[in-house]
Amino acid sequence: MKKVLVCRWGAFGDCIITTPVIRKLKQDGWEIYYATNERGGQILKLNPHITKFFETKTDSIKDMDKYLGDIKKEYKIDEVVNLSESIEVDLSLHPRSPRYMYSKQERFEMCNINFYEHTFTKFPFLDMSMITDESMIPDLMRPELFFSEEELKEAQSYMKPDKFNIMIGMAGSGNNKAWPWTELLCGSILNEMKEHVHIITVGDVKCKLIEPVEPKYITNLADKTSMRVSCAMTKFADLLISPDTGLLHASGCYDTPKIGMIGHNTIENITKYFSNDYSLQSDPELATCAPCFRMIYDMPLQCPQCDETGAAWCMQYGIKPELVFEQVKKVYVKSQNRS
Amino acid sequence: MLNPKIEAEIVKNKVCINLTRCPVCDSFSTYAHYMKDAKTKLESLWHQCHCGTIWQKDKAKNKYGQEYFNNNNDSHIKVTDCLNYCAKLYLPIIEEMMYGRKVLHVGYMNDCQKNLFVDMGWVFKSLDLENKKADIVDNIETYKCDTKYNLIWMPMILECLEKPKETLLRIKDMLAEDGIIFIETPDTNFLSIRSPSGFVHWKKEHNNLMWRKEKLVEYLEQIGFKVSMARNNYEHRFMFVDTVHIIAQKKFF
Repeated sequence: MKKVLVCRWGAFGDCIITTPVIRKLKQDGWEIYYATNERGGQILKLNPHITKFFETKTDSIKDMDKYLGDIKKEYKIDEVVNLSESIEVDLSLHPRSPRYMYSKQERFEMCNINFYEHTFTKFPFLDMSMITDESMIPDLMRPELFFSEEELKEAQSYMKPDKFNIMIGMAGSGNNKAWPWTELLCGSILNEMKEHVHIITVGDVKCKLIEPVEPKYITNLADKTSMRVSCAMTKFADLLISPDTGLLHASGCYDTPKIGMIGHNTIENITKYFSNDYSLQSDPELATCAPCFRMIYDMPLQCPQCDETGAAWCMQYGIKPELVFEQVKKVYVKSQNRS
Repeated sequence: MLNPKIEAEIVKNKVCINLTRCPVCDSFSTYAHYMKDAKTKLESLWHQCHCGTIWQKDKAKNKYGQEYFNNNNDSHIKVTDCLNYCAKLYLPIIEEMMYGRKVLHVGYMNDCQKNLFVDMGWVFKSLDLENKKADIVDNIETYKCDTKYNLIWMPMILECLEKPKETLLRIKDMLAEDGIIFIETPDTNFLSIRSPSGFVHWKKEHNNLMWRKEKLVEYLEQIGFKVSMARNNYEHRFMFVDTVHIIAQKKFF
């Protein structure tokens, strides 16, 4: 059996993006070794396709070539594919890359490519002869996550079976991904369908500051559940609303309806192949900088910001709360018709 | 952490710092940098003048040959992007400044750079690519120029020349009446911004003389150029950092 070492140091979403290719490698008969950081380890835990993990505490390795070379030698690996920065460099442009400064049109032409598809291009030795029809691609590109019984049980316990459970992801790995209208959206939802919905907010510790509070109708779980449980919840929720985060990618594993709010990237990049996708991308008429396809490390320096909320222009003005609410209603009505 | 006392002792035993004259302004100088490359362990002695010029005591070899070109003809997308970025950024400005489109490229390059110029409509000639050797001094100083160029593009080459002042004068003669020279070269101003050990251009085998931006601009103005742009660069979008980018046009009216 041939052996492949896949490496990905990145955020939660970055590692989820690699899961379809891992599945395909396994189908093709490869034995898979995976080197990643702590966050990657969390995401890929229990993945049955992976033979062995190499997990590091840090997000980067000083001498990557030596580290990978040593693993290759020890385990007699046939192929090494380093996916670290594969998307950050090729499709989301780093400020140090000349492409960061290219015109918006040029950036669009270079970067408006699906992340999942792009990851497959890094494995030229994959056997793609079975993919004869375009309709097979969404299944090929579907990410996957594996959970323990306890995790699934905990995730399910936060849902109210008699209600329409709306899960809201509050923020992503970058500050530029924060959408400032969550409270307004929750207000609109509760105004119109208070008796039928249950809202669950999730996020990291900072999100506790911005969670809308309405104990009877909203369950605040920011910093209360692990990332894995939050990801598992996307399986049971009736709708997920989230900016471009790991949570949105996790929801891509399931048929759960999802509204991704995509600012600096596009739907083509992220949710193109997701089922029941109601995502919205920042309107370039309202936020002319979007989509920028840029990696944002220092938001005040790199992004036009709203003076009042501090949110990035593309999220503040490009994705209107009314439009998101319309999508919520659309999903809700559809689910009611089905039931 | 360096121990200045120990370092001074090593220098004392190894080198003798003589009174020298600056090749650019002809002043006397006794100030020197004694450097050791952490990777190659090569030791080098550089003199510095108060005008900012830094020159090496030993002459750089600057002989690369075919092997160098083969090793450096890297077509990786990141390298290609960085190499091309200067041209992509500055050519539109230069094109606005004059009508001619004959360019002479001096210095290391690979095919992707040539393609960029050609794609933008330039009639392209490269000294080093055609000779397949980066023996810059031979190339530029013995080059028989049978035509006048509208643009002479010199990325990271001025610092390799043995007699840069003379070469710049010769290059001026090779330019058309409204011709432009583009120079990318290390800027010694960055020595005081970082620290001597943080400055990345102590290349014993490649570099002979490095200018301070202001002095280079002054010299170009003195020999008949109008400097339209002299910009410090510390951005990694370009192939080289701690450099100055200069666009200078011959004074034609």
